Amino acid sequence: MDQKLFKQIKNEWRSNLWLAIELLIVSVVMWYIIDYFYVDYRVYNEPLGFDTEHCYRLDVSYLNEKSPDYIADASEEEWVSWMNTLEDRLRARPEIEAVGRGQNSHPYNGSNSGTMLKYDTINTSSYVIRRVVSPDFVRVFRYEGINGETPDQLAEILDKGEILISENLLSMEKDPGMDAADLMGKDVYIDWDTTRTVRVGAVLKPVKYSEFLQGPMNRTIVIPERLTNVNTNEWVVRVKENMDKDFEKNLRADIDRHFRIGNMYISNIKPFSVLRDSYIKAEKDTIRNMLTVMGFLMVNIFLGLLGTFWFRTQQRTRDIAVRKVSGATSGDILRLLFGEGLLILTVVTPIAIAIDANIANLELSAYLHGAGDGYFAWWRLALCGGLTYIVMAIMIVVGIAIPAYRAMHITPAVALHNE
Amino acid sequence: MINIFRQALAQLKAQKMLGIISIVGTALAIFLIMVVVMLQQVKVVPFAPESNRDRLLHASMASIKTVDGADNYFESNGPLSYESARKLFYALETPEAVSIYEPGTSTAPVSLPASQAVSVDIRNTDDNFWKVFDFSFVSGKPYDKAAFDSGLAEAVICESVARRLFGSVDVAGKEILINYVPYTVAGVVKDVSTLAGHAYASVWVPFTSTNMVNWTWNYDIMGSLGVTILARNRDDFDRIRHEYEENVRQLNKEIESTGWEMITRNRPYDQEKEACGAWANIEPDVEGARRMRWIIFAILLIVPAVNLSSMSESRLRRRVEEIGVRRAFGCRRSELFAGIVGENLVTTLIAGMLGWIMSVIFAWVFSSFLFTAPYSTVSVMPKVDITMLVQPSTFLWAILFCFVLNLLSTGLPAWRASRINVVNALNAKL
Repeated sequence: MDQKLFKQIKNEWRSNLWLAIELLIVSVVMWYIIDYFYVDYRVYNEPLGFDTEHCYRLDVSYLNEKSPDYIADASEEEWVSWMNTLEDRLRARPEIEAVGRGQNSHPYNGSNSGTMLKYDTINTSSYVIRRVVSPDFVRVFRYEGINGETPDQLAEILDKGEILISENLLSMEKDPGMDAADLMGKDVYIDWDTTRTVRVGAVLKPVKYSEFLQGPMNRTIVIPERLTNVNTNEWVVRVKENMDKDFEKNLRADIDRHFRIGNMYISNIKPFSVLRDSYIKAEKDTIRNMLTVMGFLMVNIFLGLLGTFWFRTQQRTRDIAVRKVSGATSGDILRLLFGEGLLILTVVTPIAIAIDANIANLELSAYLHGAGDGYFAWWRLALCGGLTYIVMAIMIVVGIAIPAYRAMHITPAVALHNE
Repeated sequence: MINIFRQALAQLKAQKMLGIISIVGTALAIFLIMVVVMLQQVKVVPFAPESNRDRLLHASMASIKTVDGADNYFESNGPLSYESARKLFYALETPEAVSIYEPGTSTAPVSLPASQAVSVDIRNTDDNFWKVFDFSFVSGKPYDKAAFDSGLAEAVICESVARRLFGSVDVAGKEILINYVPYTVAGVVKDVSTLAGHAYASVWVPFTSTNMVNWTWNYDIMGSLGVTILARNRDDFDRIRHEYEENVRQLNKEIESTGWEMITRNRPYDQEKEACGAWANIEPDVEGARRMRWIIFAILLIVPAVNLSSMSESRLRRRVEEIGVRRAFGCRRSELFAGIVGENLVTTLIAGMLGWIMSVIFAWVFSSFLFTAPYSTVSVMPKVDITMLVQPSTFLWAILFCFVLNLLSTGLPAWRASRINVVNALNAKL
């Protein structure tokens, strides 16, 4: 059987060489895509550290002096009281669970600020996201502490004027000598300000910047607004799960009556689902494009094998008829044809994997942040190479199936009546 | 010529399955290539109101860093203050026009007096904005320099907003509330597709009529404004950049005492470069984006070409005897080669046209799925005009890719077929 296979492949070496070249190119590209998806899958499935379901962002704007309603020469106290009124009125709405404010802080934000932390010999060197917030911000996005601190408890800690740091804060430092968790309760310097210390009140489970992001931007220090002179102008609210229906519509309808306070007014309401979709669209587009290329390659394998084997079974009608006459079953013929295709794939795969390994070694493939992974890992190559083989084998079988079906139904008497 | 057509058709008929596979394979390849081409084209080809895209230079963002020798290294990347933008860009002499405007849109409540407001996308601009971009006014005219300089509350609104508020479009001179401030409608323009990312909004107002000029950071160096320059022609780009760099040097002298220093990151960018960057702190990588596209084109061409080669070869094998006869009667190798390639070109072009038409229909039907820009803050889906998709250049690209595909897929088999020994060929030996 095997010898027959090899002989057949040798006899048709020219068209098999074409097939082999095609399968080789497709295998490498397909591996690249599958490997990319693998990395995306791993990154996407890391815990986010925040929850934006039923959350909304409110844009708060300010009247200017051209408006007839503008209150001229408002004092600092007046501004503060307007802000408090706005917050109280939002809180008083039965459907709202929490109201928070922040600057460059909420998830899916196009802007961000950086900070640093200094303690003893530790002096963070790479980018750390600085989130200046009102205490309830952590209740809106349901941050959690590594020691089981609830969002409510974290809000209380912020209210006391203590900061929160993420568990992975020191993960990118060389030999920090301690974990971020060891900084719990310590007095540290932040924001390049060495004139005063602030206390670390809790250590957070890592807060990602967004679903597909890896690296330093997933590390954060959360600072209560009263420790800074930052104007926390991003308003965010969490709506109770069972009261989310029509929240946006109802709030909009009430803006003119309830949410124009002094010189402040709510100018827009956006659900975080929309912000999220827009923010991760770039990556989703990449995935869409890669899926399309993958589909295209699969269709091409299908067409290639369909064409080649269609032609071959046509050429070999008599040969197949003779086999049948000498007792070959339909199953035998099917195996012979499938075997031919799969054998070529099997021969090509080691070459393809060698090329894949080189691509990964040249750091041209997808990067996975974290222990020992990077661009290249043997088991990852084996996994993604294996998956590539399976996907391609399926397409080969499907492509050959149609001409094979035709071959199975050759009637020897008709095919051989010339002899 | 007619012979080639006949031959091609006869071939398709003789080998139906192989013919169908060739056509489907080719059409699919050209279809996907053209979708990639169109994805890029909507970002760079000119269409109203960004009709001058090939003459535009953008500096939507700017970057500053701490001066050398400072204790810590900081950067700030984002839009400019009016003060800086004016010094850097209004002062340029070479360009035809320079517009300072909000690089993105924001959302504002708009209403008729004493009625509930609707949220629309608004953009703060100067008066030059209307020179750099060419909007079609259906009523009234843009706010002018006098209105901009004195901060008059005049606005330009788009047709759909006019209809929503007034029920008609001829509303120049009427009053509306924008951000609870009474504005006079100076003009009404045709709706703008969000794909015109720099010009798009539903309502435009002079930024001197709002507080935008006061929103500044970093010692009033940075703020909320970006810039687009309309050059007289592309040859001026280098001169403009040179002038700009001179202005940056000048500005850096003025702001020395703040501890900040402006870096250019090779701004301003032409339309293509602007289109491939999303972040203010990274210079867009045009070469990288181009390379990526060529790799995609190569994959989309080479894989089907290998496929089709194998099929052309099979088909030619059936015709060895014919080739032998033709050679025996004095047909030259080059003629034979050209004949085979020509025959295949007919099939390729037919399939290519099919693929191209499919791609236009597909792009038009699925425009919001294909063309919505990431990180966008606007509230409406992109509207695609068929003229954006059917450009003379897209058509030329389609034909070019067909030629390449044809040559890749029949070149080698045809070359081999034309070199067959006549005696062998007549005996049907390959």
